[in-house]
Amino acid sequence: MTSKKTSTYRRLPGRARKRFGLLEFYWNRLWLADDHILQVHMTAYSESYKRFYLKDIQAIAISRTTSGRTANVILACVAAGFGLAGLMAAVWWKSTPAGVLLGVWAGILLLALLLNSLFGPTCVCRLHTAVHVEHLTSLGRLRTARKVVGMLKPLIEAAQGKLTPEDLGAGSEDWVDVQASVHALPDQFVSSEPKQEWRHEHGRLHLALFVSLFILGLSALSDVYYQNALKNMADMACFVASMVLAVIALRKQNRSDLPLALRRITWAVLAVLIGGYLFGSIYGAVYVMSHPELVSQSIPQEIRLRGSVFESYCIVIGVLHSALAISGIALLNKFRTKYAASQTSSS
Amino acid sequence: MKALQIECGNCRMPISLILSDPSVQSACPSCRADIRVDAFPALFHDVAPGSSGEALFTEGESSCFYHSAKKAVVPCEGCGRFLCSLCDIELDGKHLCPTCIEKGVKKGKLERLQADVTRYDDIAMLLAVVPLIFFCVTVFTAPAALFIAVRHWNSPGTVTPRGKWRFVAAIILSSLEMIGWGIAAIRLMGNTIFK
Repeated sequence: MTSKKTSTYRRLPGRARKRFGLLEFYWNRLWLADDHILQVHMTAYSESYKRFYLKDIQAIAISRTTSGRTANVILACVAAGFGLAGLMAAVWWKSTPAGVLLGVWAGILLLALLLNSLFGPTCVCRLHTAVHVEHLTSLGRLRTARKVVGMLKPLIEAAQGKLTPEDLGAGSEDWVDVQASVHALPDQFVSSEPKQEWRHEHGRLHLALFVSLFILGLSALSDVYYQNALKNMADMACFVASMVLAVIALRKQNRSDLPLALRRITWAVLAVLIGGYLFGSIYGAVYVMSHPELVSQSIPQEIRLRGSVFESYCIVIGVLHSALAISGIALLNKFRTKYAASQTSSS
Repeated sequence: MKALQIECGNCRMPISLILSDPSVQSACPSCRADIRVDAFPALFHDVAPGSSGEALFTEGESSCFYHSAKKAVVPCEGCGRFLCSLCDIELDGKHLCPTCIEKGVKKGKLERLQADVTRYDDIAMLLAVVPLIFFCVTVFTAPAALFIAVRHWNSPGTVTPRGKWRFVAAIILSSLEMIGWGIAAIRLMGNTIFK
């Protein structure tokens, strides 16, 4: 029988960790042997292995993802929120400890943001064999993934040979579909014609969202001059409706034929709504704490906020909401007109 | 021309990439994510069909140990049993039967087939180090750490390079803890006896 330790492994760059605070649940790493790649999945006190032989690898696909950028935006928004709240606490509330504490939190988040930016863009790296599609989680950063693929490519070519122009069908007029991991993917992939599940979306929900957002924007602008309890309650109802509409619209636009710009505007609407809500809540809490007489108000909607920061917030939010709503309505109108014209011409 | 059918890693939409080159770069039509695919010749190879073993035609021919109706083609290099082409498993240039493969995996002798291992060195280290925070529990954990380190010194370890220093550290630390408890016990007994 074969002897132990026949392979010498060399560690490849990249590591994926799943952790909660100081507790690590698992981590994944890639190792390279003479004839295969070993994916090691380590939990607290055990390891499991997957081997991909160089001669069996059909393709390696790297797709850039937006998760790193999204994390940066979220970290920046929350850090800005904490920073502003800390500043307000120190200046208006005259509470240095609260200001320092909030400032420290903002600093930690900014450090995380800096590290995330330094690590570079994120990606999904998949390795295809005839019977596998393996997501190489340790190659979650584009730079690392490209480096590792650059290291592996000559080794795989040494094991399999190089693809020739004849293999790729150069000069041939016939169109041939090739399926990677044909024994591993669901049936929908196996057909020669890939099924593009583009669904027509009429965009009524998007229209309702943009109208609701426009009303919210106008209301935010009017807050500079006039506030009352009834208006504040109506604003809250309109905000909740906008949030619900945004979530449903995002769900509906998935795999639909809506233009990319319109889909991005819907995401931006959700981000602005959440960002505005977070800032408004933090500012409101700090404002109430610095004006103890307001705590005696029977319902929160009766509280009137004042000050240059609040007015600036209202103007910024009002303009942002209105601009997004108008752009969204314009794009939706253009899309509908184009779709109606294409339907008329096809009939 | 050949078009590669693949799934976008970002939005999971099936996409079609024209293989004009072994390395192709494109954008997903759905999410606009950049996609780079490196294709290799294995993509165009057919998977070899499995063999079902040749049936016995004449009496007196050697048959497979596991399938008496199939013709033996090779002896197992682990146990010497005759094997048909269905039972013959070629591993690192050797012909082995499923039973030898199973035994080899259980004993950790077939590194290539090892799918998971328990890291006993980490367990021994944990038992030797962490209880030091609450020293009194080391009276139980130190012997346990020592036992695990000695018992599993030769157990199949990880396939990746990893030294034995954790076992050594666990043995030294747990021995020291046990010596400490021994001294404490002797002093206590001495005080009690010679009081």
